[in-house]
Amino acid sequence: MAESSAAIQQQRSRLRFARHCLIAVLVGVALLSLLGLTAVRRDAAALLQPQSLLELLVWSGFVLVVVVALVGVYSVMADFVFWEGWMRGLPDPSRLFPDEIGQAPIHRHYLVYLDGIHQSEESHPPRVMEFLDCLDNAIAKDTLLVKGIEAYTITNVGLRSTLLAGWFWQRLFSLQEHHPNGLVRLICAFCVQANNVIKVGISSDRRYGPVMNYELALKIARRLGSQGFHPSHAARVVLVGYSGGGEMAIGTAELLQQLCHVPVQVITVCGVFSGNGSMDAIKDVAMVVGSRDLVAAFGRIAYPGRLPLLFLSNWNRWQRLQRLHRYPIEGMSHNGASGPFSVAFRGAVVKAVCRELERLSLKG
Amino acid sequence: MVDQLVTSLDAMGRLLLAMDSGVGLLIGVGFSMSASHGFALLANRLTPRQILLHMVVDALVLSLAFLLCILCHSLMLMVFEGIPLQPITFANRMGVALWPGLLYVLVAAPYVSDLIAVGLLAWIHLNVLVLLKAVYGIPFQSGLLVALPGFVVALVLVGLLFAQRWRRSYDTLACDVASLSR
Repeated sequence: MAESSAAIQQQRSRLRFARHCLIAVLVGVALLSLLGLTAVRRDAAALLQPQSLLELLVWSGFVLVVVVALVGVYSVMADFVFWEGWMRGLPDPSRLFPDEIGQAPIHRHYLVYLDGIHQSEESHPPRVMEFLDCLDNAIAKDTLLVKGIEAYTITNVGLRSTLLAGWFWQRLFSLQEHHPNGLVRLICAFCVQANNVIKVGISSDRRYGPVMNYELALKIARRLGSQGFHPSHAARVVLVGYSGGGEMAIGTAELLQQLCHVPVQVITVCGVFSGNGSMDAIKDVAMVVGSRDLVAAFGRIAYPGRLPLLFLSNWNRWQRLQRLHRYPIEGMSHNGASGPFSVAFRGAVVKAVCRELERLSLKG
Repeated sequence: MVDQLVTSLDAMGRLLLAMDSGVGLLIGVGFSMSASHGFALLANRLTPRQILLHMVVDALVLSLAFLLCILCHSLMLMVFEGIPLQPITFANRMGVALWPGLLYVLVAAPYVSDLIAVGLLAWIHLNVLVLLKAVYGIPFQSGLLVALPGFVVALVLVGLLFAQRWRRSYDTLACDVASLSR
């Protein structure tokens, strides 16, 4: 009895001690919070002074420039390391297609779709897939639609499997798809798109563009080879680029023409492109444009090479020698419910692409 | 407004004088600028050792370009303002104006590079004008005349070096692609 009473007493004193500790911790937290709140209020008041705001703005701008530049440099590094041959996988361009093929393929025309900056993996979003199905049904039987090319990576593997940053992209895609918080999903989607925007920037950069576009042209040529393309039996390759894919299409067209030994033509859909890429050997470029597409309109300002003022730019020189075909679609915007993949407008876009293909067939 | 701007620039001049980093900064700026076109060396498919060697040589050449620019400033000062020719003293006083060049490595970033490069070069030029006023009391308008020829010389030398490196890298790519057409 005495023993059990002692045990109970010990238990009580232990609980009392724990309670005292908890109270001490809570008081400490409350005090710190109070002090913190005071400090935060004081700092916030100081921050609202015009001089502090200006300083904050200057530093934020500086940090933003440095971060954007460093991320861009990292992105370029991957392309150039691949080009140097330090990463395995750069194919020998003379061995892209077999010397002889057994049976002649049924397809003579190849329509290659390059997606916009929303693309994170080889598979396209459902709305784009529906659009591509419509396009596939509308094109001629001897034309093959090649889809699922990741236009913003240079190797055959997607971002998920890249050598150095694969773990990062895997985690980012997982958060983008499964995180319950909408804001987290939005931030992850923004990061993926920011990476693709940087790739568009690299493609349009006059220093880095030729190397990156060549690598992408090799990737497209390899995919074409795996789909039965052979220069001896093919009539042409048509690159269809949506949004930033338009820049990738125009950047790679000339190099792809040299790799595939067939004429390459370009159709941009709501294209955002620089026109910096060399296009001397490209004969046909068409643009499907929406009357309410503000993003594509902004692209013309962001890329001064397309402004008539810079008349010596590659784009303006090309326009003096060749005729650009435009297919305006009234009321179409860049994306969403009135974008080119929407139920309301995808028919019109498919029709415009098919009209251009027919025009090219008649010309050919 | 203009008075406020002039006061700010005077304060900037005092700050630059207080930094007192001298001509030693030239080497750092040279290396930063050399690193900014490191990808051109990669595009040329050089080995790591060759890349390192080229970067060191380029850094020294770029430092020399800025040294020539400072010498040009010194000559212009003597001609237009009658200040005795003292290139070493002048270089030690004016070297600090080049400090934004330490950030020139950021010009390696794609697409925004032109904006960053123009911004940094303009900043360096402004620093020179501010220092000419702070050290020698030369007004900004006259300072522009004194500083412009040297600045143009430096820009031409830097531009020539970078253009030569990139032209060689395009030649490498063109060789690769031309071999396909044969």
